[in-house]
Amino acid sequence: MGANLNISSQWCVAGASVIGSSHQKAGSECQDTWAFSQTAPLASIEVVTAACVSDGAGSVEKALAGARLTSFVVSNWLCEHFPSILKLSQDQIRQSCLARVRRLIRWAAKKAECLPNEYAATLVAVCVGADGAWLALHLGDGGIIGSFGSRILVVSQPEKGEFANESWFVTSSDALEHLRIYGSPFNPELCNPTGFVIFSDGVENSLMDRRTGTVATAASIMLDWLREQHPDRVSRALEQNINTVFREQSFDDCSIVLMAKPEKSDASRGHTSR
Amino acid sequence: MIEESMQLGKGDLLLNPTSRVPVAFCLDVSGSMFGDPINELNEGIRLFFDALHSDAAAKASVEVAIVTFSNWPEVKLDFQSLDRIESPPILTVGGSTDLGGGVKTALDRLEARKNDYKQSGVDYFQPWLVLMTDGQPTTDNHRLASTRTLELEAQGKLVVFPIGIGSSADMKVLSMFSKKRQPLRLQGLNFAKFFDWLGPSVTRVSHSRPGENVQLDVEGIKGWAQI
Repeated sequence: MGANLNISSQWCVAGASVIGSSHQKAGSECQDTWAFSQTAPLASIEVVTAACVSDGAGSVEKALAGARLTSFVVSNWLCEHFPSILKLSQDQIRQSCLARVRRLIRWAAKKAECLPNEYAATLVAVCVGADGAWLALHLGDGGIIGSFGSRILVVSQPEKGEFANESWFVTSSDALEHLRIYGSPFNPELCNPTGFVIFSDGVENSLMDRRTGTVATAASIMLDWLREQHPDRVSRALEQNINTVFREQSFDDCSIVLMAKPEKSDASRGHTSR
Repeated sequence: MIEESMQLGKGDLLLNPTSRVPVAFCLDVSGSMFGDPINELNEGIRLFFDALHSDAAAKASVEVAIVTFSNWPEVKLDFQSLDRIESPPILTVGGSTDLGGGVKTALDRLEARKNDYKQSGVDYFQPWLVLMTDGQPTTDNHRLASTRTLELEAQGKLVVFPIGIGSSADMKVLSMFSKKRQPLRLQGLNFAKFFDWLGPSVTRVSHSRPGENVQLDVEGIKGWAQI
């Protein structure tokens, strides 16, 4: 990740994943993770920023590994190939994305001598270019909130089965039918993106009302932090807030990733590390 | 330490309800349950509620209904959050064994509660039906009720626990209510141990996450029942 990037149109990213009290009590690990990727700010290339949250399925052995692979592959793929992905149809994006994730999972499963299904994980990702082009991919639960000009709204709701412990994962046989794609080529009404909040199911009930589509004021407050503060500092603040506020309302692992377009150029901002 | 300007308040978040686990008890209170059986059952139910109250996630998630059956079915406790229940109802006995009526009423209440959840946008886990009887049904409507129960179970929409109490319980009839779980016969009047097992089992479901199929403690069953 580049440090001290002085590009006014470059998006900033901050995030945190915190173990839920249920997993903590059971002595297990946090199965949420997140990753982001950003292209180098070369004069000839538009800066692209991608981030992905992934939540490993509760019942599988390699839940965290599945989430790590998914978030890493998807954020890197989106970032590296963004201009060409934007030209694909939604079906082509679905196929291309899942093929890449599954290829790596198959490789990892073979190495670990287990089945690929043991790496089941959800996928919530957003990629933005400096010119306002954007893409969002969502499979399973969790959600995406977007800020477009003066509007902040739910871009993607969680998708669950009838029961609370049913969802879709990158390894699900019908994942292709359930991977939802949004973005500037497909949703022209959602233009001029200025910020995104992507999150796992542990915080979905705190950040959105699924019936009404209402977004919690916390979303715009947190995006404002990222527009004003260094991303590393905001990441620490997110972790603290998950521990002190969000975990009061959830027993599950919690992940929040913020992506914001800075309002002005500031050489002191930029990413140093995750 | 992060400065106060980056600290959210509770008012900045929305407060949506937690996912629910509806558990319907369908309990035989016919005349043959008189004496120690009903006393032990009441004590077992009390212990079950105590166990749920002691776990924050279970307390927020588990909802219990108690349907009894003797001459006719009766909803003794309808679904509601545990917070609202100070103590479970004390059950009394008398009459015959309308097992089919009891199961039908319990399934109707589960269905109605699921509709409540759907209309309110509340997520829920697979409902549980715990059926306990110490004898034989005195009506034949249990056949229809068992067909409905088996259909729901086959569709993965219901978890059924058929439990026989004592040596007179008709295990053949109980076996009509589940193809996935054999009926269990309580050893003596081990209600306390059964509910002691059931509480943490429901709690595990309330803690479960998407994709997770909760494994019940099968070994633990051996302490209180025989298959």
